[in-house]
Amino acid sequence: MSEGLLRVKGLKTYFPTLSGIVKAVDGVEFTIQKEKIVGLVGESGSGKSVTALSIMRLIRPPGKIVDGEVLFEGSNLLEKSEYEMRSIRGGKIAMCFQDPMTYLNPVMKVVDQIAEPLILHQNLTPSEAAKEAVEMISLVGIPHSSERAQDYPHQLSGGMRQRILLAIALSCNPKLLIADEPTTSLDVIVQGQMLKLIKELQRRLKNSLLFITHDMGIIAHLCDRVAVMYAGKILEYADMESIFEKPLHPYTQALIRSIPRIGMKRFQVIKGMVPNPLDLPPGCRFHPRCPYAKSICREEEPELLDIGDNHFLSCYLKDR
Amino acid sequence: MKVKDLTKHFPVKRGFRYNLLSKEREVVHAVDGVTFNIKKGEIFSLVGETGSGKTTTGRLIARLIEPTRGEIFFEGLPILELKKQEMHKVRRNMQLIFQDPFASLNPRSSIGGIIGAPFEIHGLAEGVEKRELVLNLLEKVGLSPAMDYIDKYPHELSGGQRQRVGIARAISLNPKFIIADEPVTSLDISIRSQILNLLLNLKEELNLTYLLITHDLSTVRIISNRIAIMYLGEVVELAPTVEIFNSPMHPYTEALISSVLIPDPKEILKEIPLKGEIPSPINPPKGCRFNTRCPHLRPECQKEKPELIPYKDGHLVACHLRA
Repeated sequence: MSEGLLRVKGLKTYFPTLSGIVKAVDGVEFTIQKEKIVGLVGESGSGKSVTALSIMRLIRPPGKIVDGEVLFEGSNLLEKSEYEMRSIRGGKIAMCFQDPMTYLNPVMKVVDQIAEPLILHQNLTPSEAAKEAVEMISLVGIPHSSERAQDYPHQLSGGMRQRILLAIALSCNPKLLIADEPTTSLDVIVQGQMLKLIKELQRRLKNSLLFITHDMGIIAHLCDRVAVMYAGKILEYADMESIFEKPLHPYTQALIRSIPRIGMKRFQVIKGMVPNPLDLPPGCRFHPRCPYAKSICREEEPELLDIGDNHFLSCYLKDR
Repeated sequence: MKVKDLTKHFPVKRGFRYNLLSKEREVVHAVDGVTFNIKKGEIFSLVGETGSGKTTTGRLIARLIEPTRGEIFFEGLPILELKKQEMHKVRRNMQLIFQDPFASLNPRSSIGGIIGAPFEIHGLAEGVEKRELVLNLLEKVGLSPAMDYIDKYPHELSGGQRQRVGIARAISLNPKFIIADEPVTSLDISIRSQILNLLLNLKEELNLTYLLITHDLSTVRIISNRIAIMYLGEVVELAPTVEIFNSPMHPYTEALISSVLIPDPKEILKEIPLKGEIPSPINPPKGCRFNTRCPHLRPECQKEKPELIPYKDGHLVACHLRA
């Protein structure tokens, strides 16, 4: 694995609870190259969002990052002081969340919310920042930007709020943008418009993007590389085309097969359920649902290994 | 099932002073003049974005809320004219499956209690006999061994299992007609297919008719026989599934279909000709309600409301372009 813009190594984030330790993220590894869009796909509870929050060091106690490294431009973010982290968050690494109403300040004009990081990170004066903020609003495709800038979040529609959130995240031109399901709460048509915008802006601003989603449709239209996550681990990490055309992990294969296709009479199913995070199966975490499980899968946990062509796989089946 | 000119306007609540000073009463045009019929044994889907009135239509048909205007016939019976007791009998044949299995199951009642309740309400079975029926239903929806589930409470089950409980309750009285409101939206991808297959199997086994309410076109394409596309409280197009996808007639349907993200890297993301978002249902646009976003706008679209008329056999569309 070459040193990319961001390299996550053996990341483990655990949450102690009354009934035991929840290993939400348990040894996650991946690299994001410059100017690439990486999709992180998985079902709810697979640890996608916790991975993103861990990179930003936003895990709330009692949750804790217990092990691993997050190398951003070569330096480990997990060793930085809280003060240093503050200058990185929103500056070099920015994040865009799912629910715009929760993440926008309801009593602050949108122009001020976009200007805030510019004043903090780029030392602009408030009036310069406000001017820049209006430009950001038109950049994310909102018409009449100077009028809309004076609005409060409740005056905007869901799609526009999501665009404002994106404008805040992109305001300081971050090298890495982490987007956690930014289109999930939107309607199909608005979602399509939003994805186009995200892709267009990424090409123009030349930043890297970590896109978290559970929708294989979004992955197929947006990402360069895809990491498939399951029960706190990455099972497969490869180029988008390989994930769709020759998926190697049985879980990825099942995910691809479960996509509804024309002419199907019944839906393809993956048997069973995602395991309880308090009671993870020994060995490979997918083995209770895997149709090809062998005895070694039940006993030992496979490692995520490079099998050539930048295709990473965590499965014993490929060895023989 | 026949629905004719079904309309529901919700009054907008304002302060006392406003009511005193203003004569006008604003209403939300949630459902406005919806007409369709559902044939026996088919899966009929209502598709639309948030705020298009699809859920309200479902609730009106089940008579959970009373319409402002319109008629509903169930097996020829005008159900809106029925008295409470008569409606009670009709409900046996007409059941609902809700979107959120966390909100639609009583957290303080055991699974056995939830699924058994319909038998008690209709005075059909009690005690051991009822328990036997409930166990049977649990097996039928794939919660087996049923003994392990009957005494559990909703919080002990996963989302998919809860939705199965919701389905078991819906089919408990051998209904003829089921309204399923976004039955899989809140579930994970791997669980979604399991539940959809269950719904399809039950349909065959019990000769059910479904009204499926959803925004997910890729699912609808596979399971439904006919689709009605709703926009701002009105049906804009109604046709068999194949027709809707192969030759959509309404510009809104066209936009909806082109914005479905097909999970195949070879498919190129189509250009979506629509700008903006769905307008407020309090003051819907005059003329055709879609005129503010339509790429093929004509002068008559802003003046006259297009009727939902047959374009060809079984394919209805409400658009001036096709008249």
